[in-house]
Amino acid sequence: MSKERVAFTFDDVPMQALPGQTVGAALVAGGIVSWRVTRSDGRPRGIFCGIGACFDCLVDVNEDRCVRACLVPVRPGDRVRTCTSAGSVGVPGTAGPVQTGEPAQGSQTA
Amino acid sequence: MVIGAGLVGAATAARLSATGRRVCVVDRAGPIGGTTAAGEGNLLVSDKLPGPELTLALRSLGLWRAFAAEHGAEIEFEPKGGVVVAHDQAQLAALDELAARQREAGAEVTALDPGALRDAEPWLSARLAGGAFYPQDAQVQPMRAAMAFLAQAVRRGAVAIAGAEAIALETGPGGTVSALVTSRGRVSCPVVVNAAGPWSGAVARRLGSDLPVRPRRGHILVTEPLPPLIRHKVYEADYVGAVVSDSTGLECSAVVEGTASGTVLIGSSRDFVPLTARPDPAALAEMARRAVSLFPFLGTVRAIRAYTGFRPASPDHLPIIGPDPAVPGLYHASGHEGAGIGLAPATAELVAALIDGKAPPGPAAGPAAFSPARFIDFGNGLRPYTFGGFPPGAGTGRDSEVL
Amino acid sequence: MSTAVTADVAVVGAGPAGMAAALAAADLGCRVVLVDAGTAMGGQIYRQAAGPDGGTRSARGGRGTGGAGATADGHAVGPRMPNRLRRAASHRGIHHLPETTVWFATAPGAPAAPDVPATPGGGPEPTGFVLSLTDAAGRGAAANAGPDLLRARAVVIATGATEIAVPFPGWDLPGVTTAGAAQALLKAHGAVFGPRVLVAGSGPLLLPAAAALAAAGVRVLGVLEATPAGPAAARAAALAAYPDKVREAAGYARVLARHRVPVLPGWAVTACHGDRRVRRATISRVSRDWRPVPGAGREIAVDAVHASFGFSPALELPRMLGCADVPLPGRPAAAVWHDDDLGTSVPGVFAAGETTGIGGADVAELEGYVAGAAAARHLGMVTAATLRARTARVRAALAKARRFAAILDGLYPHRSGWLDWPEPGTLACRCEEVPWSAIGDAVAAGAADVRAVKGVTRCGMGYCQGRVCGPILQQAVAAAAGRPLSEVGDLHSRPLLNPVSLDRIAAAGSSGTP
Repeated sequence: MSKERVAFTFDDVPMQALPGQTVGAALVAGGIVSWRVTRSDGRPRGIFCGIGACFDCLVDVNEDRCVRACLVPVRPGDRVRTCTSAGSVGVPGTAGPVQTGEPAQGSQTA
Repeated sequence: MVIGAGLVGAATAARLSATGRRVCVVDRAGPIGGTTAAGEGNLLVSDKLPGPELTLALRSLGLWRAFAAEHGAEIEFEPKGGVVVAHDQAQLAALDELAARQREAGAEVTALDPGALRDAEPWLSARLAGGAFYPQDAQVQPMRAAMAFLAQAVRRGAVAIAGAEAIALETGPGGTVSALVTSRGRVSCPVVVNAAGPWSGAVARRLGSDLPVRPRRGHILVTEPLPPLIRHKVYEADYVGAVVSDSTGLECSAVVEGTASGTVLIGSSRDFVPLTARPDPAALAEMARRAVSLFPFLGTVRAIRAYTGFRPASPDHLPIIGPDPAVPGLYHASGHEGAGIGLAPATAELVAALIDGKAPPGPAAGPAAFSPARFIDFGNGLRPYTFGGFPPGAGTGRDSEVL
Repeated sequence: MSTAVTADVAVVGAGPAGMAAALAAADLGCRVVLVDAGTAMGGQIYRQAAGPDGGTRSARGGRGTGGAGATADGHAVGPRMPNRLRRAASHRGIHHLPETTVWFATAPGAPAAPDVPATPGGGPEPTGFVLSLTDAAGRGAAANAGPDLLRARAVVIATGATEIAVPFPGWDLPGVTTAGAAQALLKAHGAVFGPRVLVAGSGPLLLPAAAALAAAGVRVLGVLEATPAGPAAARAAALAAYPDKVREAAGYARVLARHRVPVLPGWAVTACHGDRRVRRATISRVSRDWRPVPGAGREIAVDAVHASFGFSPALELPRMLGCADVPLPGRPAAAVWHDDDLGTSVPGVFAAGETTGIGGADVAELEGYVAGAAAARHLGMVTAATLRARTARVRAALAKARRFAAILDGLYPHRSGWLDWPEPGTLACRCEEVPWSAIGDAVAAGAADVRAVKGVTRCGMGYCQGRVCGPILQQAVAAAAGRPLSEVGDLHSRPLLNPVSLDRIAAAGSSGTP
């Protein structure tokens, strides 16, 4: 059986997902456990509840800001970015990608 | 005894306990269980018509600033100022005229042409005709403010009792108040203050009197946290019209402001419905539409919460502050209809002065204007005031007894 | 201009309860619209594995054994969706709206005091329900091409449950998740944290979650069940009537034994440590009340901790429609009240699955069947007699399954000793970053219930609107105020059920909703 992968980028780093994987799952599978920091204390967050209830896993995907990574399936060519915790506002000049601490583990190997 | 541990009750308790009286605040639930928890925290002069209410508001704002000097961070006091916007020339003319009268009465207000409007609020729609800036308008977190007043009262010796519902009044010779009976016991006292917000009418009836306070529902939408994009309280010029309207239908007027936590609060709606009514999606839709017309970027912003609250409305849109005309020792502090947060300290000051038989400090706000007695027809005795066109059945005891 | 879709029966939630309800109603001739937040039917328990081979990918590289939905030793990654439910995906009477969620619900024509739950069998019936819809993930206009409104004459609520989370120092570190999250990531998406994880908490979810992880190649350092081991004989006696369940549990135990995963009753993870992610966990023996035993704690190195403390039925939609609910004794949770036909206190609204009480997939499916058939009966598609006849065997099976669920529930009581785990700076509310100490401070200052504490601390005001911190707040406030759990209120009511854009709220008002 062929192992199709879905190509996407995370903070401009190329990554791959299995078909049907959510953004959150793809990131975790790629060795990334946090992609956002909290707005008061700047603490890193990633997946907590995994079912869309906790809103910890917010991530930016293409034009959509602060969507739950555990719910959103990866589509080919998606540009996934660290969520700046700024809500759904495309405001030029607001903070860009925020350090989540650990760099991405790199691209997926077959 | 103070009935109601919302902001008006708490501020009143704090004030009364500063004058050396022993004060007890009771609430049938806990503190901030009613309207206070649903308010935006508006401290406004901008929406007050010149007259007793504007005078009271100016006095009250000064008291808020004094309180905030000590408690400002705790209650999230923000002297951010208010911006009122007009959609077209006709609205702008009406706004200018109102602003001129308010200025005469002591409010600070500056006219804003479209350029100045965008400077004040860069994200406002470019399609507005102009506006006015009220630097005295401010913001607090109403629940924290109420708790701060309550804490102040307790420090001064007051007692706060939760879960105690006012049931009846006992009177002595001459019909003067001698005790308040609550669900948790009876307390001897010479003075009772009814600060029960939208339930003031029901409470007054239990205490052997009456008060024409009717609940007027409002809605608020809360957005997800955003960067600080909205600097002031911003609202449409027809807001004042909505406040003083006697319409029993739905009145909406956009009120938009940011908060310290990053969320944007969006109001406002007014309609007369029973206290048990659910949020109305039509009101939410109209508020959302108007808010987006002021700030187009809000269109793609998500609301994460909506809630309703009930303002205590009086028939002539002025608060009801003063002694009950039929029961000596009973005082009322209610009917603030959406202005209760801002007017609470001056209300407390006025109540305390009236109880002590003194003239209230500061520029005379004309206690007669707020007197409960103004609703009495002295020819025929006490009569319940009815709103013009209010739906039959609602506004009687029924809606308040369903609580 | 908003768009609307009409149905006889709206079913909200496509887990086993929702799927069974949709099938039952559709088989009896109803037009059903099935609304679900997921991309595919199945809910949380029947998740179809991602990828053609269902292979796993670890968060530290490495790879688990593959096989669609199963591992090399034949153990299922998760229970398979029964074939009898798969029909729902192709049934002509069921219109499926995936990746969709309800943000508002009204029952127009409801009694004059709609906030008061209608008494069963009394009062005028609502004439129709209107559900406002939006993209489940909160995405923008491009993802919102579906209808804005769903009008139906009956509603079946099958929205499941969320996990009850317990706070401890470091619970907000990346790598600390619920056990359900670990299962979801693995089952549907073949993704795991790792390589070294702890599974902890209390309840029947821990063993299957740990077994699935172990079978997928994750090094599970231990399964820590806070409830101490009870007398084996008593347990065996209680479960003797359910040999299939005993077999299932034995299967998990076998997998864990094969992978040398210790199971430790009477132990808990009481703290996690690390800077940008969890690196070490403090594990401690706990008393029967879940209080840490002094001196019985150790620190071990981990890459992830997956903790679960039971489930809380999702109540926001039933509450919005005015359905009555009843507290679950001894737990910071409540469930929708229902009659023998799974009808709620609001005529025309039915509920099934975890919403009516935590019972697992078997109970959910059986309840769904009855609820769907009862909805059809409510609409006059069948007579009451036909309903009785068609559901007789299902009801018998349901009674038995419920008895098993009750036994299981009794084996894992929820204790309060975890109130000793948080430190003053431990987060009580993750969204708004409110420290644990703020709750005690608020109660000391006079806030007497959950609502007041929320008002002054901001707990529950963030994105999740109390889904995570609600049960925590309820227990903490009750303890601090010395009041019963059922009297301090909760954060289940949500006047917006899910986040929705202002444009969409405005658009929904243009439909002329009565």
